[in-house]
Amino acid sequence: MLDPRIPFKNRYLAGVLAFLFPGAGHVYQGRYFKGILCGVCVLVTFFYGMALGNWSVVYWKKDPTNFLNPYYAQVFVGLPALPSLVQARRYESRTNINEMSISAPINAPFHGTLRMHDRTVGLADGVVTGRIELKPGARPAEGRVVQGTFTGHLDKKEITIKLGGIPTLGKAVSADPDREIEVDVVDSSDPPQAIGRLRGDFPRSFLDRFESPPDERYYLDLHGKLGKFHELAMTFTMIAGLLNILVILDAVEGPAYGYGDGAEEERKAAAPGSADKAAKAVPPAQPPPAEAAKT
Amino acid sequence: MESFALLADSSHASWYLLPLALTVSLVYSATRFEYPPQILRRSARLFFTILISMGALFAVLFLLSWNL
Repeated sequence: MLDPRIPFKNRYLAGVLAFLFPGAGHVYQGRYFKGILCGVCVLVTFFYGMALGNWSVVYWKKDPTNFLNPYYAQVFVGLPALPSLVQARRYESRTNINEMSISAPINAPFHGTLRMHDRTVGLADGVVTGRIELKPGARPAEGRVVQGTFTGHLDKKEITIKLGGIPTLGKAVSADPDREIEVDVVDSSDPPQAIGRLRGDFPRSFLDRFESPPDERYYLDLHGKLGKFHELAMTFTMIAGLLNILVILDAVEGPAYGYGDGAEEERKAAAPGSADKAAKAVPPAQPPPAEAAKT
Repeated sequence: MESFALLADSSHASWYLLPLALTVSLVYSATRFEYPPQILRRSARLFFTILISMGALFAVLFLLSWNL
């Protein structure tokens, strides 16, 4: 029986809102204290778990060998977890493969290695850190060829090198925060000749990374770096989802044990039937013994 | 990536039990009652129950693993 003191309004709509956004169902019903309390607790637990797992522990990926998929619990957080389903489709799409062209200019931090074929230009092999700028080839006949520069440091020495040729890029959609890229180092001649190879990573865009499934290599790398904290991060996100199941049920059916202010017990005690019950519970008075009456 | 790995390395995993126990206590108690003071009272009781129970379990496991 629903407590009349609780304003349920349309409780099924409240349940849907509670699923979509933790606490929203209660706020819709005017139960602000519980809405804010549950919303903050569930969302903080969920996002803290995601941060602890380097934002790579919430994703949907079918694993036929394991029916215990963490996403079955994480999905109950609602809108914060639902993008995983969209990202899973994008990840499995036929167009999500290693690419040999760029559709938009790239201007991003870069970290990687330089390998020179031609040592006469005065550049040695080594680790480079800096900024990479690439844009699609200017002339229509160039097709997939790119043009650009790398500016940064090679063994603490500042360098600027020209880039060109056909690049190789890793998949666009993946949980790995870094996207692989390989491109030729070219000289200033026309047409430019490859004199070396630049290989490394630049940051993947947020929309391609958020709640995307990880590649096997990145998953093993992440597990190796985080250790037991990977499982802990996943546990936080799963517990957030499971807690939101309780919140949804509370929005639809109300509190499991009642209002909790003791008024229910008082109401039961004051009810008309309770006085008769109390009288029946008291044993009837016993008649005085016969000897006492004779004396 | 490196900052999270360092954060994880710098603290023992058991400390993460505290905020987890707190959120579980609060949300579970909030779904049992409606009256805010009762929610807070019961969640405090549940929080300490969880901590004491987990502490006892840790103590038992520690003793069982002594000298292993």
